[in-house]
Amino acid sequence: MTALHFQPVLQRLPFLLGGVATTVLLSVASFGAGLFLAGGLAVLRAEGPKAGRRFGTIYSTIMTNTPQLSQIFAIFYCLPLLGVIVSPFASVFIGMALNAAAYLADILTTGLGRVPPLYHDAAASLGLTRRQAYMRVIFPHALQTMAPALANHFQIMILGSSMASIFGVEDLTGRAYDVGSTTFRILEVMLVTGVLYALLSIALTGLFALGRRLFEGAA
Amino acid sequence: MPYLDLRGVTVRQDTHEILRDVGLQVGRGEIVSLIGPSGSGKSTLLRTLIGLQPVVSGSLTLDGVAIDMTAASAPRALRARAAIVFQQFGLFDHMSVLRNLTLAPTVVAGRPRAEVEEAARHRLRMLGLADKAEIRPSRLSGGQKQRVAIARALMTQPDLLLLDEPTSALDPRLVSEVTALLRDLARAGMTIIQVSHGMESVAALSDRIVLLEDGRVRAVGAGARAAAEPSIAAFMNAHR
Amino acid sequence: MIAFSHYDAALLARALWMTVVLSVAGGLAGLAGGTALACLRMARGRLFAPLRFLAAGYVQVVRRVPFIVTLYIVFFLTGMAGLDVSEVTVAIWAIGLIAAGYIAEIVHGGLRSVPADQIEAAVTLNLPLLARWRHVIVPQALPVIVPPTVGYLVLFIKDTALASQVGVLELNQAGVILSNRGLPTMQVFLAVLGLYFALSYPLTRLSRMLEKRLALS
Repeated sequence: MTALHFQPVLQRLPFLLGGVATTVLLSVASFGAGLFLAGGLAVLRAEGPKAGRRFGTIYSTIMTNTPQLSQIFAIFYCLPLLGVIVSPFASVFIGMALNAAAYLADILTTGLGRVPPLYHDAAASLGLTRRQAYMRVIFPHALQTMAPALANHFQIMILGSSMASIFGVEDLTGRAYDVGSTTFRILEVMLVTGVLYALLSIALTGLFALGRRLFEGAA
Repeated sequence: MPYLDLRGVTVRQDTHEILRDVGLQVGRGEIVSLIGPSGSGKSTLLRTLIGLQPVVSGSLTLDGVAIDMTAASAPRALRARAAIVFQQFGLFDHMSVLRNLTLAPTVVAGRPRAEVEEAARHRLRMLGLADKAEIRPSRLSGGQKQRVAIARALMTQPDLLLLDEPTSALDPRLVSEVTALLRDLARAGMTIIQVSHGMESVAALSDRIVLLEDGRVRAVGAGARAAAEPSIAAFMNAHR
Repeated sequence: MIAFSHYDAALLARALWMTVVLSVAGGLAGLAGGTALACLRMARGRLFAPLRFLAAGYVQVVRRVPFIVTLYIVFFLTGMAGLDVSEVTVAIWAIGLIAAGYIAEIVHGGLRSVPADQIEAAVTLNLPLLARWRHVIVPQALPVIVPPTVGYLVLFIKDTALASQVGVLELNQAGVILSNRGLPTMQVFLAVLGLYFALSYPLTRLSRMLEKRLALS
């Protein structure tokens, strides 16, 4: 077995770190968009018309039982057929957001179920409209109780965003492949990349714990 | 003309009538107690007055303004004038005590946040809760929660205050504190309607006692001898 | 609408079979590896301390690395080591490595959920080690372990879609190939997603059913 040479890879660390930025951007953007859609789906499931409820459940069931990669491929190939030409980044973003919406809707549905029923009455009695009640009282409560599950899914999305490389996005994995093909040190670069993902994930775990402590300390 | 004139309220759930043709006349600044066996419709009547309970029929004149209780606009109109304190308080545990108080004035009435916070802190000070503004309601004692819930209701500047079992969660010392507070509010012109099981405080506090039974008004006692009305006296004796 | 030809259908069937093989073999490897790791973490005594630490570290790290990166590492590592293994074997190993991390966590949690007094009672009954595990620990841990493990199998099925990246012709890759051949893209991917769903959904239901039934007993 030939020896490992990390030097050429470490020289290109700044380039890889630029990929980390794309990974985080892609994950944050699709998490945000996914959460927005999930909010709508969760409300639909909680108090929509019967057909709406059924749609919400079926959507989550289908999206969580099929691979995200195939979903993104479907979007990647089908959007142009509909006359929509978007960048690979946008295709992956749309795919990840639609996928996240399904998982996050499941999480939010659980969260809405844990909001004390009296909160709805109390918000209404104070004169809040349904919309205001959801935006100011119900969702904030659900987001707080489900914060650990949401953070966990964000971590999963960071890992899942590596699929973007397959579509030519220059995220961390994409750039790792670039570095591999220019330095011919593909194993080394993938090991470094694995470490970078792990560090990013550990940092996020720490950040989340810190945020939670600050938040609860303030309360 | 009475301050509050409620007529012909009927509430139906499935085929069962929870309230049947209920009426109620109350003067400004009166304290009214709704009493009756459980399932008699007391809480339901309270909920109709804040628009949480859809009614089959019913009309209300509140301070000279007519409100059709069956109209879609009724809840909004009611909530502009009335506020409720729930038995379980319904405080929002994921926000601070202060935010509980400022939520409706800023979001519903659109008043400036700074001004509302000032008023909220003032009200908390008056209730002896100045140091609790920043904490979560879940960390308060039962008596403190009660006062915060009343403070939150008052922040919407109602002139009709509804209370569901305001003293049930409190120990006796706190009961007299709350009744004193309610009396002060009524003296300042607040009309108060409470559902109560605490018969001593009902007798001492009420300007008007309404006995409900099986969804109907069975008897009304008014004035100093409100508790002396025969069927009211009988009920209160049995539940003392 | 262009119908799938016989060859296209055969390709899809072969790819589906490959997805099943990868899922089952990877899942079994993960089950074996994960159980071994969990048992290592439960091992008492100073002698096992480094192994406990390694097992815990492995579980922590492997779940923080994207599957595709693990897949590449296994692929290029076996290549560099001069091991003559097929792409399919590489994919199975990679799935097994990841699955072991997740399953180890579940099994460990399940074993830890057995109350300490149960184990002490077994010890005071003079039950030998093997009997303690067989009659006391395992029966109580299984209801905690089995439902989420079945649920995670769905995750590993979905991971197999990435095996195409090291050249395995599985379901997702079949979709790409058929689509590039000029078949109607929408139908191709509906078929691919539908087949994945047909594999995954029964497991999801089974996991939920087990969860409910085992929670009741």
